[in-house]
Amino acid sequence: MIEKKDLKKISDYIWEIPQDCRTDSFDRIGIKMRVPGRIFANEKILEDVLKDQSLEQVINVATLPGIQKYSIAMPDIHEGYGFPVGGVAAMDTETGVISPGGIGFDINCGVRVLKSGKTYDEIRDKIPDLATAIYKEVPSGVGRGGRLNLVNKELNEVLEKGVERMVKAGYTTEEDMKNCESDGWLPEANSELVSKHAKDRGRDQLGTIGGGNHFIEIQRVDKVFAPKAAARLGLYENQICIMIHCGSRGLGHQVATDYIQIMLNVFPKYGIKLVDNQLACAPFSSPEGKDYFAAMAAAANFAWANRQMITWEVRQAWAKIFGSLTSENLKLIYDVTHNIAKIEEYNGKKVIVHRKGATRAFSNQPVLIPGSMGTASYILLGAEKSLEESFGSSCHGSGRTMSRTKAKKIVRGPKLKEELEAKGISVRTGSISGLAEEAPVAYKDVEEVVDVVHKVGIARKVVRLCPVGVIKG
Amino acid sequence: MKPFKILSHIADLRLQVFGHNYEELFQNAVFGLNSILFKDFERLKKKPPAGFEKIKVEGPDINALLVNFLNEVLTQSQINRKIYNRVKFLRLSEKSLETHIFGIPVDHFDEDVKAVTYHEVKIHPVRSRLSEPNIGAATAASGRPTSNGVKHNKRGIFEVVLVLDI
Repeated sequence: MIEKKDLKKISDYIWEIPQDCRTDSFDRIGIKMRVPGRIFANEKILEDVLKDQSLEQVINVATLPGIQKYSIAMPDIHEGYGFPVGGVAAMDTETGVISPGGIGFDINCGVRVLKSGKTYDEIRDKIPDLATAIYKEVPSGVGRGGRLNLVNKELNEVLEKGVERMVKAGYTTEEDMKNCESDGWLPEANSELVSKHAKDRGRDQLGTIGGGNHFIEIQRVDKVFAPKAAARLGLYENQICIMIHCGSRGLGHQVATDYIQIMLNVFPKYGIKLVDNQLACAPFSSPEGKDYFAAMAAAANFAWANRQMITWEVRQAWAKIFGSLTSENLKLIYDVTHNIAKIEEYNGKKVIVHRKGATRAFSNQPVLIPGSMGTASYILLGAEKSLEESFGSSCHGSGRTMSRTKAKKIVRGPKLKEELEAKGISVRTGSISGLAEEAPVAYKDVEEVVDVVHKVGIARKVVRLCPVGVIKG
Repeated sequence: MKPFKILSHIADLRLQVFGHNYEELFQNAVFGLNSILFKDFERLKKKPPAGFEKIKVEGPDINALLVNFLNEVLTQSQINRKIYNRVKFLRLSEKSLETHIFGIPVDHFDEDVKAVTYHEVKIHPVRSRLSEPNIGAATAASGRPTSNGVKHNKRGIFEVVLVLDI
């Protein structure tokens, strides 16, 4: 296990894992760290991080061919499998690899926030009804399909065009599309490289949130940190917003499964040595690397279309409670992905940036950080320093500190629901035990996490949002 | 002690599985996966299945083969909305297998298992520290006793720990 004494303190919020910190075990299999590790954390977060295998996983990622500058850990990092969750790794597009494990199974899991024209005081009595209406309108839970069952032609269009397909189908407007990262679709997508298994697993899941840590929250703007930036985003104190957290559902999970299996078969022929098979990868320029990237982009497009369809459903629910839609109701502020690989350029060099549980944070781009259930979430703006320090990336949430099993042992779902309701949070869920798994006690303090990225200067706080309604599967 | 145990992992779940031979280990792993997908799997296990899927899986070694097999069962569960309560091995070697998996339709799942991972998967022999009749009970549920020429650990049992992304 890595200990604090093994780390080099760069500043109060930046720690380095030296490149030579692992020798024995790696020497045996003929690999080495190619770059140092970098961790963004305060002392308290670092203590938590040192309790699990997160930093060993940061080190393992540092051994991958073509990795540039650092293997990076965000303050919400926690142990995953292969790659840590909350990790960033940028690989040279010519000499480096692409690894499906560095994106994760839920390709383009992401977050979007809608702003309303209503304040909390105006609609507080209607919030329980709104939560119920959203719960009814948006299918949630595991194994439940949505209102659409796409035939191959329709599904392929979604896979290749993402939100643009949803505009053409009449579920949204170009305004929403422009407020998504990458305009809500990646042109590299190729639906022919998505397997029949993946298509069958996802064809009826558009517009569904599933289970796990995915949710919809009704939130109110609780605090404004940067009034000018908030005004530019159309945000003000006490305003009601809606946050949607979801990804590519079974389709994305299957794309990842399919291609990790392919990479596991081919990595030895490229002379790649791995410390953990879950890091299975292939050169980005190889046929397998190119195929995965095109399939991943297709799954990412499906995820954007999914969040767009959920948005349509949320707007339907809103209209049922507050009357027919008007143009000022529920506008999309922004939509970010936090499980993705993207080609970006830094200092004249093209790299494939793997973000697994990390949010792009380009200068002045909204960075949406959901907190754990029942706690605050944040909207930040990306800052210039992210380009120097973290390949244009920031954190993505609070980060777990406790297993779901342990959370369920110490938290009783019904009691948690009562406590949340007592705090004025309307809870609608199909799984009370699932509620316990996501209890705030199982997560790091989002305030501390966001404070680190703010102080390092990779993203700046704009507003804090507090939940008044939680809808989950 | 049961033929499988569900252990905690900081973000996901670990599934510890035992078996006297590869067939039993693979089958118990399916049952372990099912018990995560569907809480009342013990009840479903006793029901007569309604139809089967024939699946063929390959892998570079026995460890990857197990992961690929479980992922295929998971995929079939999700696509067909079924829980597979019986596994009949037609062929099982270190790098490939062919099975019939027998399933029961369900109207929901209790957990969204995204995938079974290759993270630190290593099937290894351990000395028996279990109550053998319980392990045997899982074997009996398959309707087929033990191996047809597959590796059998006479000194004890095989163990594997899998990490599942949920």
